[in-house]
Amino acid sequence: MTILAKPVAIARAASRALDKTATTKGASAATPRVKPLEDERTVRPAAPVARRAPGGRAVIVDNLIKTYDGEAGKVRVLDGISFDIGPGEKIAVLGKNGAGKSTLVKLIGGVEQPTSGVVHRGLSMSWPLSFGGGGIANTMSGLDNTRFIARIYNRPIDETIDFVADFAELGKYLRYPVQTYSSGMRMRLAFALSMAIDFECYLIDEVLGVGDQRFQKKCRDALFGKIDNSAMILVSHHRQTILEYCTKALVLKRGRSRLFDDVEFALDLYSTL
Amino acid sequence: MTVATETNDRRNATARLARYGDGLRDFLSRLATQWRVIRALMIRDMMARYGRENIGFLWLIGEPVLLIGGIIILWSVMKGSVTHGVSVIAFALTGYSMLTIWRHIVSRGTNALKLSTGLLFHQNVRVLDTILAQILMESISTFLSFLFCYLLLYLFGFVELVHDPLLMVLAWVLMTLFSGGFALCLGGLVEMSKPIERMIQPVMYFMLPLTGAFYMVDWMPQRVRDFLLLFPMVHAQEMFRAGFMGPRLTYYYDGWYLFVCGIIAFWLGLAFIKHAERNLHVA
Repeated sequence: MTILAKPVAIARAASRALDKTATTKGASAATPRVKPLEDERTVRPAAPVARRAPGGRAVIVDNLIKTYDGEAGKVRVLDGISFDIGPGEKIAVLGKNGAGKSTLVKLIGGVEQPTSGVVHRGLSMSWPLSFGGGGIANTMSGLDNTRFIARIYNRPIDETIDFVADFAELGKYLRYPVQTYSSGMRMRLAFALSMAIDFECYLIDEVLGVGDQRFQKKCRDALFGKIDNSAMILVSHHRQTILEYCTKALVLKRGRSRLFDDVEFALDLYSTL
Repeated sequence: MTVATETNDRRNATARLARYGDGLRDFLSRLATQWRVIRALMIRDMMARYGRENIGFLWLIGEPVLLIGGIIILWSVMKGSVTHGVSVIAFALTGYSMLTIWRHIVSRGTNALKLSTGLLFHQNVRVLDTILAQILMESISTFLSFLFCYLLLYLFGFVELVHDPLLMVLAWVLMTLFSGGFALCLGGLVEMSKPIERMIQPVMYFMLPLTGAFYMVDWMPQRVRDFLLLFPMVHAQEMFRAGFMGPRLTYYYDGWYLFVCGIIAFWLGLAFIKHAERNLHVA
């Protein structure tokens, strides 16, 4: 087993883990380990069964495995991920580039199918909001996109259009094809659309930092303020955002994951990865 | 916090009630969702392809009309007004309508998997929905353009009143079923293997004579006839022409054979698509 991080950083993280053991409730920090990184691959993630919400109203991910067939052989991007999210829970997904964060989000959102394992979606889920503006057709105008989304999610079309026009503030550009939009405008539209549907669980893939200051604030207010009781899976590298809003953190490394109730500790651990 | 749990509990209770409620109602609501999604996809497809400029989505009918109309004119010039005792206009109209739906459904259905990956971001939309929407769209739009051409030709007295509309509609539906199934199969196979993808163009091209659009089975010698009747497309074509031109000619078709082939193709196609969906990579 190779040690990837600096020994000093590991020691610091480990001592902090020991300090926190008394105060954290979660199963992740319950067993104090001197070297939290060394035997990481052999430790099973905390069993999610105990915290499962009644009536199946939760997003439950159980032993998720995703393998891609590439030119250079098979790549196992996710290797047995398990966790669950109850209504209103906000969870951060941390990991280096290529750790499988976006893949995880795509699997949870049902964009791709897992090689094995189960994703139970007990909450109404948004589509993954990512940089590409996924879920938006480029050749159609913003209005036609809005109509399509309203139809797909069974919402009244006129109200949805009103909301999107008001939230995205795209003005007359709403009538132009999306392919003529700038990336910021595209994100405005995508955000407005997902807000208009009012999901119970939002999947957000590193897009909170898009758009101008005012729109960013608007998004934050909408996401974390008005619909405070919606759950969220947030992929972000932005420490402040995560600390402020998330109650749990999932750290991904080489396809394995660990769930932490202590977000600050998870962020520290992540910075040593 | 307690308020939140209470409302959640209440919501859970209603959800549970709904779940154990009428099984049929559940099935019907799922069916309604399915239809809603496919309908939305069809409208989206229309808008994405033709937009609102000039005549907008009327091009959906206009495109095939141009194709069928052009072929009718071309064949009339080449072959005169009558060939083998069949009016060339009726022959070209029926042949090219059927050929168009075969070609369009297969090519669009095959490409649907690649083109529509962006749609899979929405949870209600599955790969199968996007392909079904394409198939339905093609079938309906080509049928409308056939009707449009027919109406024009009939009004100007180039063709007679159809003999058996029901038989024609049946042939159309069965052709849609079979070519849809075939498209599903190809779509799944293309996703699984690159070489197959390269081979599709030539294979589809060499299959053109096997659709029965350019001849009637009756004109062929016995051996060729037996061979041709192995292909369901020929059955659909003959059936369609039988409905159009009436009993003064001899037709060779078996509706049940076509139906069974369609069901088998669809069943295989569903399996292939299911498998392909598993390995689909959405960028």
